[in-house]
Amino acid sequence: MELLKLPYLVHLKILSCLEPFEHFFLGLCSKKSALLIRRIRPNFDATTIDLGQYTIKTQNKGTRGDDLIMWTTYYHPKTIDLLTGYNGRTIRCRITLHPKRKIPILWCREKHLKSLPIAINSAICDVFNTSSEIRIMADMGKLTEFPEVDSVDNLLEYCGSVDQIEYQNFFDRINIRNCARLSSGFLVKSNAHVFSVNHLNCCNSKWLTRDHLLNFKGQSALFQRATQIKNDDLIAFIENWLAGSNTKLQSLMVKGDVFRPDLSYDKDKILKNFETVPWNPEVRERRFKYPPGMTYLSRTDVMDCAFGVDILRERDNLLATILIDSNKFRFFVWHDRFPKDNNPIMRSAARHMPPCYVIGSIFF
Amino acid sequence: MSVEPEVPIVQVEEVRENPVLYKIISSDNHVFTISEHAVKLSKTLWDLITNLGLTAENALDNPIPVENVNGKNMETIVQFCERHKYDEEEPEYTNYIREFVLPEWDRQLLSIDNEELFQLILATNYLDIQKLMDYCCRVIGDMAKDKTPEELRIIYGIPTDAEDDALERSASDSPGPSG
Repeated sequence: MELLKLPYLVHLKILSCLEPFEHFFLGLCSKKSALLIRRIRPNFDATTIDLGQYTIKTQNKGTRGDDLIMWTTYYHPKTIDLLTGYNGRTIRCRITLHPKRKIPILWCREKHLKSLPIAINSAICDVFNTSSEIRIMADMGKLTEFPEVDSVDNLLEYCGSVDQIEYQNFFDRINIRNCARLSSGFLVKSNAHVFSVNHLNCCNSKWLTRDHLLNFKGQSALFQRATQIKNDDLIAFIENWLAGSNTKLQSLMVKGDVFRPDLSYDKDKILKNFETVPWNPEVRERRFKYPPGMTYLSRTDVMDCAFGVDILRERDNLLATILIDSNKFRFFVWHDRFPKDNNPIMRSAARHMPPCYVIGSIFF
Repeated sequence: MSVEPEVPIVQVEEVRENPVLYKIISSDNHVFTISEHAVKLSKTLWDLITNLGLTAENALDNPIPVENVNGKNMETIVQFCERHKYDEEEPEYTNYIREFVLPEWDRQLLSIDNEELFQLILATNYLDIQKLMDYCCRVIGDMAKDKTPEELRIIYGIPTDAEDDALERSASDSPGPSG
């Protein structure tokens, strides 16, 4: 049989019978077969490497994604040249099918463990012609298995136990180009690279200090459980923005300790330090538009700035809105005062925990 | 030479119902008879019959030549159409072809070697028989189960990049019509 010689509509039907990983394997056969796979267009937008689960996922807008392929190490003589020519190397793998998850597992030698996930991801992007961004979900307890890369586009880290020094060294070494989501709750130095990423999301920010706030150089930040941040720190942050020349910042949100209502932010105490005015519909839109890189899905319409107060930075006429509500502080900078397509983006009332963060068009 | 397809079950029903039959001649001059209900599964053949104005009276006197399909494939196709002629019309499987269960009778009918299946698909495509196409594609799709890329390359006859390059080189090196 010469599959590639069949008519296009027949290809469509045949490929609709195959699993996504079978599309991938077919695309690995040759350049022409990869072209065939590309013509049917993949039904996903991006891939994510989950180092904790040894899995590569394919993701669509609005989903956490489906597992496509797994990898592990345990050499076996019955191997094949699967990913030939990756960075000048050939990675030989044995392939088996996971008995329950029904996705393939690639088995490689120990020496390839750090290369294989990136190699597979790269091959998937080549075959399906999808974004070649590197998105990694990393269990920081397995830093020794982190791929041999100097930079990633998006990083989500999670872990219960990791050496503090090793953790900080990691963030000194790795360059994150777009977004970082830090879940571990370990101290990050205020001068670390990660405070310059475009979008920073820290789920457990007990370590967050005024220095961190003042040093953030990205577009958007969300700090949750920032128990050390007090009124004076927020005042210092606003003063710093007013006096500075940061034209990059778009959104900064700080959530304090939800279990200590007595430590809520004092709105009046903070705002009396600044010349603020209430919302004027002629000056700006009611709803702020998220920076395109990352969206935080709240159950409420957190972008609604109708009840916020505005503050103007005179040196460049940039307008910012401040919203303070109990233990929540929000600071939005209006680079476009009347943005289009700023419809509310809400977290759906799903039974299971829905994804809360969107990076680009991908839940992460 | 005439090859009579085996359609025992269907013949009983034909006697009971509309006995309109058509004659089809394959590319290698094998002659087949097919009932009206069965031939309707092929959009190409039915359009041809309609356009030629064939009726119950003159159908058998006017065999339809099908140049693109040989006797072997035509036999399979006639068997399939007779088997499924009273099936309820189903939506195209394109979007959920992976989910339907291929009936055992059809699986056996399509248990042929790869090359024959390839030719059958081309014939089915030409005759525009949606259901048979869905079934054939499902059989081809099932071949990919538990296979490595290298095994897929062999099963589906996909040349390596080096083979493709060599083929293109030899095509460009060969003299043109004037050479």
